[in-house]
Amino acid sequence: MKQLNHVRNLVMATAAVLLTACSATPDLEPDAKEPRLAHPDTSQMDPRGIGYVDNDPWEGFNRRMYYFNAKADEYVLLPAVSGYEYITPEIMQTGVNNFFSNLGEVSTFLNSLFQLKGERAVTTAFRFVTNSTIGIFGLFDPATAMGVYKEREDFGQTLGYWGVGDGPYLVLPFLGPSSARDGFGLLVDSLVYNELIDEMGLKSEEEFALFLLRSINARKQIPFRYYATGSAFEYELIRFLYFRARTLQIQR
Amino acid sequence: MKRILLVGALLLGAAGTAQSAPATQDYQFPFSDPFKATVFGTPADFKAELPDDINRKEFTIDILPQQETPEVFWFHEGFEYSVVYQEKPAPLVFSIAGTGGKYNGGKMIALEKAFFKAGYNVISITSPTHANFIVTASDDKMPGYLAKDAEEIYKVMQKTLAHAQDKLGDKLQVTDYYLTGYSLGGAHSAFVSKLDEEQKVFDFKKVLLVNPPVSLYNSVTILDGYVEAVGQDGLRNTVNSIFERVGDNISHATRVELTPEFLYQMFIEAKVNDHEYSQLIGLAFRLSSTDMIFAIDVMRNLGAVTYKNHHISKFESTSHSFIRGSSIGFLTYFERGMVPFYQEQDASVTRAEMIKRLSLVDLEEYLKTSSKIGMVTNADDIILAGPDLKFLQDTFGDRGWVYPNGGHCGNMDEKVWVDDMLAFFASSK
Repeated sequence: MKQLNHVRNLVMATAAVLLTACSATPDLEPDAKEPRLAHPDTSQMDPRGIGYVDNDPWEGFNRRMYYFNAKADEYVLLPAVSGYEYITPEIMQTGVNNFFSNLGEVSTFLNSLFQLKGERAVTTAFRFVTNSTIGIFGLFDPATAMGVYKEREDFGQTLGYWGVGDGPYLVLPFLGPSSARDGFGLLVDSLVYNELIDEMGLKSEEEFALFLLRSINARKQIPFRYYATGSAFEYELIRFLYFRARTLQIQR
Repeated sequence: MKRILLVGALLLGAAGTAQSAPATQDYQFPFSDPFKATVFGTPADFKAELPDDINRKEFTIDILPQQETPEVFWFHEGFEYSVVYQEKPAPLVFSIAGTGGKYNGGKMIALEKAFFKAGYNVISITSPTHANFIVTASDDKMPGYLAKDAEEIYKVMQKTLAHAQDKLGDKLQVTDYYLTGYSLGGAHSAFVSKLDEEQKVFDFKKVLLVNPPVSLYNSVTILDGYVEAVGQDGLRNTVNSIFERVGDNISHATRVELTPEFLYQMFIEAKVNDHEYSQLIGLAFRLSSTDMIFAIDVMRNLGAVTYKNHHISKFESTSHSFIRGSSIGFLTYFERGMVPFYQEQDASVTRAEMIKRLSLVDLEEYLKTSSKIGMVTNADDIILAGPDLKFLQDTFGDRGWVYPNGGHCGNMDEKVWVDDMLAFFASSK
C-alpha cells in the first residue's frame, strides 16, 4: 500500500494545482458573436437545477478529468473488465464482488456509529460477522438470504448528516463524480480500508493485485458507459444527478 | 393454446385476399392511464418472452468522409448502428427510432429481440433527430422535414447494409426487406416507403408504422405544452417535489434496489399524479430537443445557443448552451429554424404548407391505397390530437389496429402486441 499512497499523494498535489489553473470559459475568436438566444436570468436559479453552474467553480479541471476518465474507461478499465469477465467463471466473479462488498461493511459500520444510527450499525455488524464466517471470508452473502440487507454509509454521508454542505463539484481521476466533501470522505474511508488490508499482512505485490482486482470489480458493478446516450450535455446531467443522489443517500 | 389458435386464424385470414387486422381480445395491458403507460412501459409480468442472447453486432461507419467532426462532438466518431443476423438466408427489417432515440434504446432492443426470435435479420437506425445522426450522417443538418429526412435515412440504410454485409459476410444473407419505426420513426417509415416506391432499392414487402404522429406540429404542440403549461419554474418545482417525495420513500424503504419495479413502487407510493407525469414526459422531450438544437446549431454555425464563428473546445463549458437551449422546445425550432430555412430555399412555401408537409396527411392517398403498409397505435396515445386517431383509422382501414390503452409506445413489448406485430409481418410470407 505504501507505493500506492505515494502515487495518490502525488496525484492529489497535482490536482490541487490543476483545480484552479484550468479554465472552462470559452476562448472566443475576434469575430465570434454572442448567441442570439438570450441567456435566461439565472441569479434566482434553483441550485438543484440541471444547468446550475455555481456549484462547479473547478469546472475547467473537472471537464478535463471527465474527458480523461472517459478515455481511461474506453482504453483501460472496460477492456480490463471484459478480460476479467472472459477468464473468470461467473460464480467467482460473484465471490469477488461479495468479498470486497464485505470489506466495505466495516466503513458502513463505523459511519453508522458516527451518525448514531444504532440499528444500522447492528445489522451491518451482523452482516459482516455472518458473511465473514458462514460466508467464508465474505465470498458468499448468506446475510442477504437471511433478510438482512446491505446498506451503504461513507464518511461523506457522515459529514453530510452532521450538516456539512457538498462543497464544489469534483471529478476524481478514474473514480468519477464527487464533491469536495465527498472526496475528503473518500480519503478517510480509504484510510480505514487500508488498515484492514494491512491486517491481512499481504506482500506488496499481493496488495497491488488486490487493488487491481478491487478496481476492476468496482467498475464492473457500474452499468454506466460514457456518452452512451450521445448527449453533449452528459457532464451537466451527471453533475445534477450526483448531487441529487447524494442528498438521497444522506437522507436515508 | 388459445394464443396459437388466434395466431393461426390470423395467418389463415391473411392468406385470403384482404388482410384482416389482428384481433386484440387477449390484450392485457395493466395501465389504463396513458401517462403511467408512457412513463413506465410494460411491467415484467406482461412482457413478451424474448431471448436475451441474440446474434447482434454494433458498428460505426464513416458516412461523410469529407466532413471533419467538430471537437465538441469528439465522442461521435462515426454513424453508429446495430445489426442482428440469422447466419442463414432470412428477411431483413430496417427499424427506425423515435424522436431523439438511438439505435440501442430500450424499445429498439426489444424490437430486435422479437424480430430475431421470429427469424428476421434487423438493422436498427438512430433517429435523424438524434445528435449522432445530425453530426455524422446528415447533409442538411436540419431534421424534421419528413421527406428530406427520408432521403437521408434511405441513404443511411443502403450504406449500413453494405457495411454490415461486408463485415459479416455469409452470416448476413438477406432475402426480402421490411420496414418499421416507432413514434417519429413511424412517420419516417411512411416517407421512406414512399421514396422506395420510386427508387425500388429495397422494394419493401411490408411496412409497419408504430404509434406514429399524424401531424408533427400537433404532437409537438402537445408535448411542448406539458412544459409550457407550467413554465420553467413550475417544471422545476415539480421535479423538486417528485425528488423529495420519492426520496422520502426511498429513505424509508426496507431495501433499496435500483430496479424498474422498485422505482415504480416508489413513484406510486409518492402519489405522483398525471399532471406531474405529463411534465416528466415533457421534460424528457425537452432534453431531446435541447440536444438536437445544440447539434444543429454547432454543425450549421447558426449562433442560436452557441457562439457564432466559435470553435468549442472539448474542455469548454457548454452549460450556458444547455440553459439557453432548454428554454425553448421543438415548436420554437420549427418556427425560427425550419420555416426560415426552407422558405429561403423556396419562398413560395407557406408556414401552413410546411405544417401539412410534416404530417401523414401529406401521404394520405399513398397510405390509403398501399396494401403493404400497416399501422398500430393505442386509442389513448397522448401524441394524437383530436382528429388524428380517426385519420389513422380511416386511412389504414383494416390494415391498422388500435389497442384500447398503452399510451405512447408503452406497450411495445407486451405479449399480445408482439404477437400481433409479428403476425402482420409474417402475413406476406
